[in-house]
Amino acid sequence: MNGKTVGIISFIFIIYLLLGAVLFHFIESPNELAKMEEAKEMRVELMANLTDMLTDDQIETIVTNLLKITAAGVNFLNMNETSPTNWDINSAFFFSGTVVTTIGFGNNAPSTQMGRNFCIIYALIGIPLCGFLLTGIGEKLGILAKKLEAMFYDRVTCGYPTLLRLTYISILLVIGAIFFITIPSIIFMHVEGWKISESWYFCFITLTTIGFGDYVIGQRSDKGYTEFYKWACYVWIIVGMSFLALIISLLSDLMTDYAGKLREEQKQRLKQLKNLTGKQLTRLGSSDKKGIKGVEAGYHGDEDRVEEEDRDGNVEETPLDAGEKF
Amino acid sequence: MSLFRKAARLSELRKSSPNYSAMKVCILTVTFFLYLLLGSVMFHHLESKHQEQDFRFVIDRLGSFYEKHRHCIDPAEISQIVEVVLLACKDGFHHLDNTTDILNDNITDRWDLPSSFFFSATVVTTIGYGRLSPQTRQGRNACILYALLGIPLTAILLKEVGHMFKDKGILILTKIRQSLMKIHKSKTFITIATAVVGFLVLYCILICLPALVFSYTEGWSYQDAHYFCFITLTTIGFGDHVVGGNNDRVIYQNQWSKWAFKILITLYLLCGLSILAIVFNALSSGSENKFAELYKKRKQSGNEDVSVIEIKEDPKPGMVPGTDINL
Repeated sequence: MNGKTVGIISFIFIIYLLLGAVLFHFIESPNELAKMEEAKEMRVELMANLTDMLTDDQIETIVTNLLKITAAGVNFLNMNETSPTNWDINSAFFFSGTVVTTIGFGNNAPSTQMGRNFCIIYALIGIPLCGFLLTGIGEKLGILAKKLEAMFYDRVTCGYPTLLRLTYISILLVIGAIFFITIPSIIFMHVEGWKISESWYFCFITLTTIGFGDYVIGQRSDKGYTEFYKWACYVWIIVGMSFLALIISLLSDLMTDYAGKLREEQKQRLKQLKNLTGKQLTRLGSSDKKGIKGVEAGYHGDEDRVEEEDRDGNVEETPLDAGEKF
Repeated sequence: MSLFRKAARLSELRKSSPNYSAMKVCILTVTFFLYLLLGSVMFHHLESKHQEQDFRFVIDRLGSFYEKHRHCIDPAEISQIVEVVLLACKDGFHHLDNTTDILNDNITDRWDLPSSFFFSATVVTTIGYGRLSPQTRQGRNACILYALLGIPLTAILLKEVGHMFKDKGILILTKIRQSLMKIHKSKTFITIATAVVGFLVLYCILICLPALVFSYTEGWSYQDAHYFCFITLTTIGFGDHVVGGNNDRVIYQNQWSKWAFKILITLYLLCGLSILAIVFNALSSGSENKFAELYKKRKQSGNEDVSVIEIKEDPKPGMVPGTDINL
């Protein structure tokens, strides 16, 4: 784990972000501008229909107020006069869940200053607590995954262990996708009235804790949600998140191990190269200690190694020594 | 705990013996559930009235408006306005501050390149504000694929950065311990005090200071900026407050300064999460003996560069450094 590795990964990461920027810009921007045009037409039409009754300013005030209220989470059409709040105990419970799991949908967010301060303190304690719970569950899932992995290796052999691991993880991912995404999506499709693609999207965005909030379960007050459904959803979120964390840890382990393997191979190759160079140099009768070390450092990408040896005075076997042996 | 930290912890756990008996998981579940209950009561108590007031306020305003103009408007027209607004909100427009900009063709593209860049960052870090979210089917599919690759990539980056600076993190913790030992020698005091001091220092660097910057650049109150920083770095990301949300600010008018600020805020996200990863790494793998070893080696070689010395990794996840406390 040296600076060069981190440097390379950072570079890839930045490229990935730029790629995302271009990708999303070209996909979403035209649609957004088109929708803005539609919104403009709607607004103009509204003005045309009502302008003899209301002034433009009055319409603007009403519209702006309604936008503000909707942004704060008040759902106008679905609310009845008697319970105009989505901070009832059930919803507050769900909200607490979105805080400690760091999903943070945002359709509901504390608007009072005290609420926000409490939210901060609540999160400081709740997030680690949730983390312990999830790692506990994740560990249990991991044990199961290990057993499956052993079974998998019994049946399948391959010359490339990394590829084998990747295949296993992919299979795990597919099984997980069925249990944690496809089946819940079908349920959501029926209960929430979403399309299957919307449900799929919601499941994914929720389990990764991205949690945009454009789709949220349990928001329709006209649909009677059963208690069982609500609890099933909570369980799904917790277990699903643990599962996804497991997958991500498996994947990143695989990538780090693979990178480590590559580095090891490189070291071996370098050793061979060093011995070779040493032999050639002895024959030539010259030795450029610093030069060789410089080349070495270049291969390793590890300037520290050069300095370390100089400072400690422990000189590693020089090419000359290696040559003399032969 | 962010997805990355969970994943990192799971990696370490897999390499060591199982730490969590079924009993522990059960107890954790119950505690967790009780904690959620506590939260629900508190939030209900704090927020419910206020939202009801908001709602009542608008209803009253609409009501009195209707009363005033009853002779020339019928409620159907008010409903019409409400419906139009809600329709626009379904398309994600409820974050607009006003609609006159649209009328005057003063349309800022919310998906321009700098904003999309920032959006990508919020996806791979799992913050997901939601102020901007893909509305097209292709956009959503792209988002899913992008996240599937990007989140592990970010996880790896944070893990590597955490490893790289872990020694420095342990060093700082040790320095804090050393200075605290001068005050009082009791082991419990040292542990608690180190944790408190370490936490406060971290909190100041990660949240209090950046909040000052953001309150200036965004024109927010300090409390709002502080709340934003916290909600962002924990990757909760409600989206009620987002940097760059107000396009009227002068700094966002110029395309270059817009890029600069989006990059700046992305750096803030990454640095903040990295520092959290480093702290997490330092806490998970440090232990009392390692500190002593480290210091002995340093003294012997007179070598100030700690990172040169390889600390043999023997992660004991869940152990609080310097104690026998097993979490």
